[in-house]
Amino acid sequence: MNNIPLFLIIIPLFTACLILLINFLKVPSILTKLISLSSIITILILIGFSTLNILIKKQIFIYNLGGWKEPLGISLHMDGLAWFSSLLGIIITLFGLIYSLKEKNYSFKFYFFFFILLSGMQGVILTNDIFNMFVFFEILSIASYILIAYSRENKAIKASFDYLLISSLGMSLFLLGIGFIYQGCGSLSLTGVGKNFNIANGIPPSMFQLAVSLIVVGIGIKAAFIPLYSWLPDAHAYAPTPISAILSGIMIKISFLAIWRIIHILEAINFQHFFLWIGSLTALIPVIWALSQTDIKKLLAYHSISQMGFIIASFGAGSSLSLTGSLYHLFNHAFFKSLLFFSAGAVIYATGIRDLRKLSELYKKIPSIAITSLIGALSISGIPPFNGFVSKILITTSLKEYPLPSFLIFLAGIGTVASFTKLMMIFFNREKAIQENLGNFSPNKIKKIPKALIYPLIFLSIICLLSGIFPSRIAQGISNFILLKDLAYPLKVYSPSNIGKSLTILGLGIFLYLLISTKRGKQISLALRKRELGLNNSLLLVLAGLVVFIIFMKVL
Amino acid sequence: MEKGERSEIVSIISRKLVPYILLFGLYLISYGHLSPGGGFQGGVVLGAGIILLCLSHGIFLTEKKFPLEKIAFLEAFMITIFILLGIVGLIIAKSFLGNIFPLKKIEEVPTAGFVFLLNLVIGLKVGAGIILIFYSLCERSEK
Repeated sequence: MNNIPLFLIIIPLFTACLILLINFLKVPSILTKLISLSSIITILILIGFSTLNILIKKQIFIYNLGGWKEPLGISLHMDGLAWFSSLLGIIITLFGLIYSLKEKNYSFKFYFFFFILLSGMQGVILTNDIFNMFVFFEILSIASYILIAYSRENKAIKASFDYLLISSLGMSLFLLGIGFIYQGCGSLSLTGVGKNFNIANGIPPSMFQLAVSLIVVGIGIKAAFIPLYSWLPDAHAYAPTPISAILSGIMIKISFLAIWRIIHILEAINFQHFFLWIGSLTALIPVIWALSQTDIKKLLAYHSISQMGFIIASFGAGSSLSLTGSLYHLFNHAFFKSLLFFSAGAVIYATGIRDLRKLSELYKKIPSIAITSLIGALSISGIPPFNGFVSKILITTSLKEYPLPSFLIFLAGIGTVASFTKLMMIFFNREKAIQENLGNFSPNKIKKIPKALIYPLIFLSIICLLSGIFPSRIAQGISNFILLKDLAYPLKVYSPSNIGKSLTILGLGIFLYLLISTKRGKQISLALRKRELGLNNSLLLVLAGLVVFIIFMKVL
Repeated sequence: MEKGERSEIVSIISRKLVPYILLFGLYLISYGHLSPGGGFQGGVVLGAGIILLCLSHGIFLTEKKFPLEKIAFLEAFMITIFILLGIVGLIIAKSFLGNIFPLKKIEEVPTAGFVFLLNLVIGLKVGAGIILIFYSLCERSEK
């Protein structure tokens, strides 16, 4: 049983190698797909086996690599949080894999890097050694650079290159932070760091602050909060669709959970509170850009950042209810965002167009995609009875004591509704293309969508609905089994006032949509769309963010 | 010397030198557990030997002796073997990459146990990887 964490890492790694190897034996490509599927299902079964011990018996699986115990060797820990994120990662990856099976362009190299990415993600979650975490972050990053540029279009290559430079800067900051920690306490295992690396144990305060800031900014580039998110929209938009879904659905959350774990271990409470502000700003600002986008996937990518803002703000508030809300929203966002990305991918597959302005009346041609997109849009906008509603209510309830952040989050909610109304208009609008004189899209040219693309959409929609219908069970479960705290607050999500709140946001959002679709609104969005940060400014912004974080730590 | 003309000195010296470079690479791999060196370093030296052949005799002659497909297969095969060895260690010695051979005292001859085998696998994999990187760089510049 204790070997399970190890297998979660080496099974994907071994599958990747096997895929590379059998490519030389001239076997049909169906074997590659079979191996990939069976490997992911094996991992799923392994996680299923560990459920009882981890959740009910509250056991932690500890595996010491090479048989060396903690201060000397590297150990893998699998506790409730790791179980949760590992399971979430595997489910989204499984859907991504099913979605990519029908695509003929994906050669064995795609599957190879896909599994390397999976292995890196599992490693980041499971490892209990901070340097080992760095190594797994690098594995994950290298696989994701290549997968983002997989289509070899110019924009994809540029997005991947920008991400490479910004992320390398972040990783070197992370490494510097690890250096400070090792200098300070002579230990790299997270347990040892938590015991020895704090101000009470004689670590100079300035060193502690610098190390925490460096590590948080370093990982924060992958978790994409303000001001470190500028690489994300391009990278997630121009990656192949299954990869966009995995990057947006899982990868940024895994980086955030790494921050979560490190902050909890170092007990940097002040820093956690700072995340309330960071998160609420992150929720609002990308929405403004999302409203102005015309590319389907880019709009979704901006919303990934914004939804991460909700998660981070709720994490910053730090009460048991808000932590539950944060994890619940993380869980929900993984599902509805991958649902939305898969739907957008299916639209692009069917029409060959990714510009929102050129598409119209798709409901008649591809009704199944229209319905799944509608479910995704309702979930992300927080409309009952879908899952986004529940977690957003949890978050807003827990942020009641902080008026300004909750107001920012309220505004972000309105912006979300508006931009998803804009997105849904491609399905339900009439003859928009002709009106705006952009149209080279004729509705007859729609390709038939294969079933492999539709099954993941149906499953994800069902999950979105189910996790919205049973809110209290899931919230109690997350709180009791994963955070190991009782949920003190009596949970009543579907009360009239909450539903009224969500309907108010819906109304204001549709009003905002009407505002931006006027002539003046379009001019403003054009101006906004042109104002994107270049690479130089993004790199400068990262350094500025680091300075802000260090100053903030000094002041408190 | 005209452009494209082959220098006799470079050609002969590199031809004589390459076997020794390869031997030195194998030495680094096989004594990695006792002296400075190891799988990665030895593998880089192995790769460097082949790269010297490419530089002095041209990529076409070298690719005839060391075809790209076989090198690529070697690399993929070795990494798979590495993980398999790790799993064998897990089954026999109860930990991933654990030692499966009997351990001897320090001054006896087979002191390395499992490490020599792992170093060998890593060395061949790294060598093949270095050659592959060089081959693909050459391909790009020709186009």
